[in-house]
Amino acid sequence: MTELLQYVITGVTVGSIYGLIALGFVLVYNSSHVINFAQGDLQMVGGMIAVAVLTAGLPLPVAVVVGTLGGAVAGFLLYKAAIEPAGDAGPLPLVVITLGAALVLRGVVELIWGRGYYSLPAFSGDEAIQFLGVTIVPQSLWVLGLTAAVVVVLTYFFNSTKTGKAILATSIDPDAATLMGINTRRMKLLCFGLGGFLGAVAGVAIAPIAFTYSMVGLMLGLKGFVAAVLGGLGNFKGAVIGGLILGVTETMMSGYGASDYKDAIAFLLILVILIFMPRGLLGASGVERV
Amino acid sequence: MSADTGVLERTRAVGAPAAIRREGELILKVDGLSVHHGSVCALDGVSLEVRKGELVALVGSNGAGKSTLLRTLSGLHTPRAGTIHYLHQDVATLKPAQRVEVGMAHVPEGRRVFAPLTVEDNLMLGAFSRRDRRDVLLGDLEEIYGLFPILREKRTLAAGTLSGGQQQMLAIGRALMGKPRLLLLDEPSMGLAPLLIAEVFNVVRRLQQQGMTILIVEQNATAALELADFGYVLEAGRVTKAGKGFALSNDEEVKKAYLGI
Ligand SMILES: Nc1ncnc2c1ncn2[C@@H]1O[C@H](COP(=O)(O)OP(=O)(O)O)[C@@H](O)[C@H]1O
Ligand SMILES: [Mg+2]
Repeated sequence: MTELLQYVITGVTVGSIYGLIALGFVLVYNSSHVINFAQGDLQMVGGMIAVAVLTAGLPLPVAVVVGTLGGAVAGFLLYKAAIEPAGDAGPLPLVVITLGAALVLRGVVELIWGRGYYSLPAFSGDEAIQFLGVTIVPQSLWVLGLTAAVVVVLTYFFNSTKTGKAILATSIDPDAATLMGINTRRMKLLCFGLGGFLGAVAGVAIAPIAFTYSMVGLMLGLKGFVAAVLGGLGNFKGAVIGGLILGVTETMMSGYGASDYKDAIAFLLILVILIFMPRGLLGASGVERV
Repeated sequence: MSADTGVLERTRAVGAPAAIRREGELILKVDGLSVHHGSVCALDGVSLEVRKGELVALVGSNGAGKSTLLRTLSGLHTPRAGTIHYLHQDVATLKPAQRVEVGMAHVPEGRRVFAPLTVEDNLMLGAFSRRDRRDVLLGDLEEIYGLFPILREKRTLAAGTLSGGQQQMLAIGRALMGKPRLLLLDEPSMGLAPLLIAEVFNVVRRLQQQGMTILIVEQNATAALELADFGYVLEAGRVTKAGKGFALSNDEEVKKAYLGI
């Protein structure tokens, strides 16, 4: 029983990270109908920048803030340099563009920091908390708290602010949104920035628990994507729930002796989704555009 | 056209001159506008004008280029040639969003309400470009609800759950929330039952009486021309006739070609 509880807590922590990355996918997808396969790499960039700032001798809180803002800037740049110039290229070319952007981000990071493995110190010490016989590292609580905070803030932003509503309008019908006087490009830019920011929050929050390195975004990005799709790709709460399901399932599998197959879960889920949603995700977005 | 003098009395009760001379400040002036969609020429040298307080109707059959004209006015298409002046300003320099800020509001073909959002959200999005305080906007919202009581009743429902006629009211209300100085209406009667069509045209008439400047494009030529102060007939991207609205609706050729009489 204790064991099970332990796996659940670990799984929820990992799942929160997947959920944060999934939120980035959803934000960008909602505003631009682009699946941003560089989302995991934006997360990696955030972690790497935070490590670099800390190594330069600045205090941890500064490193955390600069890392997350760095992710946001990377998101803005991604939109300005790669997405906006492509115009109305359509979903498929845009997906290819984001895959290319991911390679560029990895390449730049390797040029600057090499292929080494890095980590950050925990935000509030390493002393594990014992609770009902279960061990919880304080960083897990940070991860959970940050994820919860992000969900609350995003929900408020989209339900109750003018800009949030304008982003929704852009996502529903870009032409009609333009006729409201909404600058739809600015809304998309904002979402790429927010997506980068969320990715970087995940990257910085998990850097004390798991190593960050140039290729880490590949697998994390895929996991986040699966979580987003599980949640219905378009729904914030769904994205987080998808992340939690994936995280807990993976941890259970490793815990009960099938750790070799841990990563396969995500791919199995993708297969199941593709089989039971035969028109695919891009097909769904095509319907909305008519 | 001998019908002309009679028309004047019917459309403008007071002080209208006998010839087709239009009064009032020039709000919109389109000159030699040509627009292409790829290799398709949708508009070919269209010129027209709309003056303050006028209801101008542009009628034409399906594919004549009516929507293309309005979408070009709003900046959704870029013209190949010609100019658009709004309040004496060349709008070529204005981005689509800025055209809304200066007072052009466009109710698009097919309503295009934001279906998953609530009726009230849709209306408030219409005021996106305004910088007024929230209580001012809420006051205007009340005014729209006064004009369309059904929208008040349904204000918390998703816009997609409304009937076609109600969605058209919403689309018009949403545009009015922008406090426009020029209202562009694209086939507001499209796809509606006759009773609702009459209701939509009643709304248009009411707006006209309140002094709103309106450019309406319609396939439903009779209703639009009878209401209009001035009308244009668009055929395959060219303006082929222009005149007082009621005169046009009585013009034999127009009757034959567009009114199905
Ligand atoms: N986005 C587009 N791409 C290509 N052709 C278009 C597009 N929009 C309109 N057209 C063509 O331009 C012409 C005018 O269309 P439109 O302005 O929609 O006419 P109307 O509104 O009068 O029915 C038609 O021949 C139509 O097929
Ligand atoms: Mg049309």
